[in-house]
Amino acid sequence: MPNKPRDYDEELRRVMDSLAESVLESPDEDSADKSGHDQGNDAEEVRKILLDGLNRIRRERLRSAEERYKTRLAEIGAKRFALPATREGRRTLLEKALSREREVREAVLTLQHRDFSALTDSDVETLLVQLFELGVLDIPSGSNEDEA
Amino acid sequence: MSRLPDDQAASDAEVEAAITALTTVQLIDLKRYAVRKIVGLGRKALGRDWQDLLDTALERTVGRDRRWNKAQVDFRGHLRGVMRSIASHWREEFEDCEPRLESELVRLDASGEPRSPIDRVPDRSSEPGTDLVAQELLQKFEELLSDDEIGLQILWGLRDEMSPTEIRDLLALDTKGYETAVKRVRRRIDAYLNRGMEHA
Repeated sequence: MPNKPRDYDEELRRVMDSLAESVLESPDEDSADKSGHDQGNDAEEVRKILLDGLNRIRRERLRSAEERYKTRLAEIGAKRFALPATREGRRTLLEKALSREREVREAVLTLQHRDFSALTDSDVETLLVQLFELGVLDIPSGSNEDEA
Repeated sequence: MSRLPDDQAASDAEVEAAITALTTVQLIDLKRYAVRKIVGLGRKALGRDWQDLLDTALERTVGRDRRWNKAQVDFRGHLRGVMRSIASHWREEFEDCEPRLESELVRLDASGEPRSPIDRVPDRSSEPGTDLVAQELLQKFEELLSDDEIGLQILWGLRDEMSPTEIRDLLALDTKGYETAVKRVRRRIDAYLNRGMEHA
């Protein structure tokens, strides 16, 4: 039977992986360089890679959050937000929206008003706009129906 | 792997503090670990270097993939673990893609028969050394250890997938003697690789 050809890639992997893992527990003594090479520079190069990487990731996150915010603003701007034409229609819409979002309802009625019926017409309109901007309320484009 | 709950994962600020607190020895250890893993990947690293491996490990740590559980492991140990799994993933990715890449090269010749450019490459069994870089590196390591019989035997043992216990038994070494010899092997290879990187 012919000899199996040597797989040098695999042999190199075995050697390097074994050497890498052989210092898993106690790198300290082994890492001391006996050649006189300045390890401080090497070490600081590694620290710089890590710190630069961290800062780059933070900047990317900020950029991404900013883009999401701009997209959201553009979406809000693009939507034609039309409140129901009548006072009753607006109250009905708000009541329905709050009944779907129990936590929002509790927050609105606890922090701002104790009683739904005590909300002024202006409160109703402001809350509808705020809920729309928060994405809680989804009014079809151009809707001015009294029923949501 | 299940995601670490937020309350157990280190924050960005804690990661930054851990980087700042790494000692010279720990930083050098991380670099050497990354270099060994990249050299071990050889062509499967697809041109990535040790800095790419370290940087990717950090990205996974502060991203959502491999967050650092500081109660379980120190930062150096965490980064080593992440680099280990990334290197393993890169290897698998290469091995998964290799056959597909070859198949994508297949074209019909003038007679309508499928032909691949790889058909023109001599068969690996008749032309040893198609992976010349790995072969050259292994030869270089042997040269580096030519005056260290024990070191050379250890290199061959690791190359042939022997466990440390098997190598120790074969060479009649106790644990301390074996570790001292492995350390010599590591130092010579590290010094050679380090010179190579300086001249790259």
